[in-house]
Amino acid sequence: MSQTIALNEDHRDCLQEISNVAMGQAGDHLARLLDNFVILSIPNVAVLSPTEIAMAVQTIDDHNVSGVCQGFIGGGIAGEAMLLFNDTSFSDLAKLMEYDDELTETAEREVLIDATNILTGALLRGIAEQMDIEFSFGPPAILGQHQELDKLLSSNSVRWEQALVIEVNYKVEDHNVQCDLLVVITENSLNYLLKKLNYLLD
Amino acid sequence: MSDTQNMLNDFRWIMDVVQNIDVGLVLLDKNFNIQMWNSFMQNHSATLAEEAIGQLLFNLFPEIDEQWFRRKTQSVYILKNSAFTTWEQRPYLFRFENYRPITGKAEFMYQNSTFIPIQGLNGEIGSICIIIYDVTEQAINNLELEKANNQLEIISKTDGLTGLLNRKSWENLLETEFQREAR
Repeated sequence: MSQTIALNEDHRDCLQEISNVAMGQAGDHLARLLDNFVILSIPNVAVLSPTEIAMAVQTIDDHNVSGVCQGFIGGGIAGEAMLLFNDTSFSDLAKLMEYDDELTETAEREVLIDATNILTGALLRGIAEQMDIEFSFGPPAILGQHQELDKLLSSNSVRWEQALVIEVNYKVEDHNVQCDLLVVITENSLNYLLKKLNYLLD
Repeated sequence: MSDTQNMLNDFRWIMDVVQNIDVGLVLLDKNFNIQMWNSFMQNHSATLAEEAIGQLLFNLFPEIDEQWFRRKTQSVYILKNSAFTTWEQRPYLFRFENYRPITGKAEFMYQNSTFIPIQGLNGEIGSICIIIYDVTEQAINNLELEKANNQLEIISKTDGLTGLLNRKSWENLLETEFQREAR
C-alpha cells in the first residue's frame, strides 16, 4: 500500500515528545483523581491502516474487549480517540471509579464512558495545551462490548486508508486494569498538525 | 457611545442569548450551590431563578444521586475536563415532566448533559456549568425503532395464526442442529 501520509522523522519525534509530556501530566492528574499510581507506557506514534491497528494493539488479549470512542476537534485538527478495555479488568475498573452499586449492564456502560472520558481528556488536553490549541469533545460512544477485537474494528466501516495513530497503554498499580488508548488523526487534519509541529520545531 | 455603555450593551445581549437559548444552563459553585439558572430551566422545572439561585442543588432536586454527582464533577475539577451523561445510560439528570399533551409521547424529558469547567479569574476552576439538552424526540425514535425491530424479528419467525414457529425458522433450526451433529 502506498504511503499517503508523509511524516518525517523530525515530525514523528516531535509528536512523540509532545505525547510523552502530555502523558506525564495525564499520569499526575489521574493519580490524584483515582488515588492510585498509574503506570503509563511510552506513547507510540505511527502511520497505520485500519487493519494494522488491530496488530498494533498487542498488549491486550484480543479475545474479549470493550471499545469506546470519543471524537475531538479544534484548531483545524480533528480525530477520534478509541479506548480498548480488557474485559477481565471490569470489576476492578468499577472499583477504581468508585462505583459501589451493583454492576448492571447500564452501570457497566456508564463506567466505560466515564473512564474513557477521563483517560482521553487527560491526554488530549495535554497535547492541545502544548500546541496552543483547544479541543472540544463530543460525548463518548460505545463501539461494542465483550467482543473480539477484529469484530469490534470491522463492524464500523472506516472511510480512510491511513491515519496517524498515537498509542498509549495504561495500567493501574495494584489493580487488574489494563487498557489501550489510540488517538486516530486522519489525513484531512494532517496539514494543520504538521504546521503546528513545524512551528514547534523552529 | 462610551466604553461603559458599549460593555453594558454587550453584556445585555449575551445575557439575553443565555436566557433565551433552548438548552438548559446551570452554573454551580464548588459547594453545589446554584449560581445561574436560565429560562429553559425556570420554565421546565417551574422554579424561578430567584428561588433557585443560592440553593443547594440536591435540596432542590432530590432525584439527583448526590454521591454519583459529586464523583462525576470531581473529574471536571481535577482534570479541567468536560464530562458527559447520555440518555442511554441515564435518561435524565433533572426530572422534567412531559409538557406537550398532544405530541409528547414520553413520560418525561430525556436529556443529554455536558459538564464544563469554568475558570475563575485566578485560573483555578471555580465553578462548573451544566448544559442540558432535550433529546426526548431522538430517544423516543430510537426506542420505538428498537421495539419495531424486535417485533419484526418475532413476526418473521412465527406463524401469525397459531403463534408457533414458522417453516423458515424450523428449517434454520434443523440446519443448525444437523451441522452440530455432523461435528
